Amino acid sequence: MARVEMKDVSCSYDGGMTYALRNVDMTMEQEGRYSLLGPSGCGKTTLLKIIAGLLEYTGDVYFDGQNMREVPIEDRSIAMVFQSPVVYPMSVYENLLFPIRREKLASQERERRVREISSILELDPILDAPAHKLGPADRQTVALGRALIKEAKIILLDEPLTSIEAEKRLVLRTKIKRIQEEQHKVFIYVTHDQSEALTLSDRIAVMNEGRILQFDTKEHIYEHPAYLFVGYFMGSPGMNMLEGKAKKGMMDFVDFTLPVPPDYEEYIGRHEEFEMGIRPENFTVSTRKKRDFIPFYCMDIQEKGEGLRILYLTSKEKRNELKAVGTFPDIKSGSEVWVLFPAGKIRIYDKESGKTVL
Amino acid sequence: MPTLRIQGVDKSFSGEKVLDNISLEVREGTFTTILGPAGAGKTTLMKIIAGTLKPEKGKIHLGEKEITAVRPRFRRIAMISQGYNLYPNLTVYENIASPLRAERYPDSEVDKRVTKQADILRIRHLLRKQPHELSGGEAQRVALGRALVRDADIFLLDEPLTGLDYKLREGMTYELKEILKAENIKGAVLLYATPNYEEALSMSKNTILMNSGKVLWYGDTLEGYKSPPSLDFAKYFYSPSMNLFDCSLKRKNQTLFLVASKEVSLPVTHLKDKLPEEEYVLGLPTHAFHFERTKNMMAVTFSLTLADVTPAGTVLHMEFEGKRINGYLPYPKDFPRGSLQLFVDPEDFFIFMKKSGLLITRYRS
Repeated sequence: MARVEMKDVSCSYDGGMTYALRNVDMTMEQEGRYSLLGPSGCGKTTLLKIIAGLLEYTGDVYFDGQNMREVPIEDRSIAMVFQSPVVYPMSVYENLLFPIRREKLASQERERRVREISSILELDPILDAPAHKLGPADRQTVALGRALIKEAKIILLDEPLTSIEAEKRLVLRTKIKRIQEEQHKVFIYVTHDQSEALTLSDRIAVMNEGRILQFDTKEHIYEHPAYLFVGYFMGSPGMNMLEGKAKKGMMDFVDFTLPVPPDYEEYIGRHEEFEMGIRPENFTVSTRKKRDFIPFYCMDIQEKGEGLRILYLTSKEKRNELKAVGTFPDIKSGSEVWVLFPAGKIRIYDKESGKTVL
Repeated sequence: MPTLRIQGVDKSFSGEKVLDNISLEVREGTFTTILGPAGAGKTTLMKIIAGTLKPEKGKIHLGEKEITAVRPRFRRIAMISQGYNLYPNLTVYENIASPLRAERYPDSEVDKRVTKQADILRIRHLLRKQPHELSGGEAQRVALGRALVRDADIFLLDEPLTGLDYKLREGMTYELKEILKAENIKGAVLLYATPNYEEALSMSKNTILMNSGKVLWYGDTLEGYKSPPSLDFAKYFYSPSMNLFDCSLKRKNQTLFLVASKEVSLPVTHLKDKLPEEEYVLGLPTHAFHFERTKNMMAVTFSLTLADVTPAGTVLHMEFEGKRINGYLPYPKDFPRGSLQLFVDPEDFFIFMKKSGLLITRYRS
């Protein structure tokens, strides 16, 4: 069993003037694959270091129900991989052996474990090479192997792919995913890259300004962002945001109006102002006028690759801008288009807090 | 303003050729991308154009004038390199002003230009700050401002967005396109280096495709993207690259087929006049894989090694008869490793000559 629980954890680097981490409550469990995702300075690495026992904090951290406050790093059953690969100036084999060299194991057992990790990570061909002379991607693979060879229950990965060249990143991603499938541990992965989070975890904590804004399955976070920030940060391009006002039972956006989606009738009945979010891939865009479609003007089209295009749209009196993503074979730049906002894809957020109102 | 002409340029570093007989002509006023992976020679070529590196062979002309031996400071070239290299002891204002100061512009002109540049880049509020107070995105804007503030015949932008986190990069591609329409830039030669074909597609009219020190292709970005002119293009332009299947022409009864494997076999009788040889290569774009069968799609079974999920879509890394195949689905979905059956529309294939590597046609039944 392995279970990491945090209760009201906060951390300040300047004695409480500002907080790098604020009131974090979360639980991560055995065989889970988790990501902490957010822009630089959001607190994700701080959170990871608290789990590792490298930082002072307020609140409580429990591993399997045991309060970890006084437990030093070496007794925490964790292993950590850092952004810049750390290897010792010895062969790859000796690097992998290093963490278990003092464990009371038969030498065949030690050798067996090294071979096992080496095989999963495809390090066999370079086992005798001096690790410190390898390229960054291979060095990071060695660092990963060294973290995994201990029987740690919790593996902490702090942006391990950020400093690896793009072409090699994919190979390493594949290896990490394979390890996650074969080793039953808690994996906590810190990244600013949404595609790494989506590929290498099942549940994601999206963080900003020291807070966890949303901690949920990746599908739910994408479909139902709890905050405007989450909608903007996840997605490429991010969620469109429009400022709206309630007017005569409709949602008014100055140069067009939309009916209020049933889920939001109550909220919009009580609040005059709100923000509407809608994902760029959720529109239907037509060259012809149809019922319930809103007139827009297509200012520019960018090819996005993979057969997809981004339309940059502006409403009739240029009061609202939208990005739409899709194949859109008939749409031309500089032409009038008609846009449908599907009611089921509209999300409404509180104007002050940016929080979902549902 | 004049055209840039590069003729037969070679460059080696410690015996290894990094530029191999490069000849190019880049017209002023045309946004041109140099696209290629790390090590393709993009930066070396830019440095040779800027004059900070000397070619071993070849000539460079700007208009009628040969500039091969002209020292960098006399070339009227503005360059932004990877890593922003701001002067740490100068304010943002003085960093942007520095190229103008070097050319002894009067103070009033310096002020006018710096302020205008700061407005375009939306960094006016940062002018009094020092570089160490800036975030990555802000430092990048300042470096851009410094490169774009002066008049120049050639603007060289070497991966200016690399190193920004993806969220900033996303906004900047659109904005950069607008910024580069400024008066002092739009008549100059504008070269933009990137390893990312999406940047080339969304910003530049023309693309120079490089790999291993050679120019593989040079042409209209969008036309190439839609109809890959050669195998080299198919391999190196897209990322992940287009899928390629070696195949040969076979006759069964009265029908001609291009056969790559048992499952990948295309009837091509209607194309027989265009197929004089035995060996061909089929190209299949990464976005041509489907989950549901429609029309006359063919079923192909792959072995999936990784589903790389992004919010915009899923990249499937697969193997097929010992070859790597990349697929792209336009929605985020995770798949377990192992066997995966997908459907492919024959109409999505491109047919290339094996020998010459040239595109013959797009398959249509």
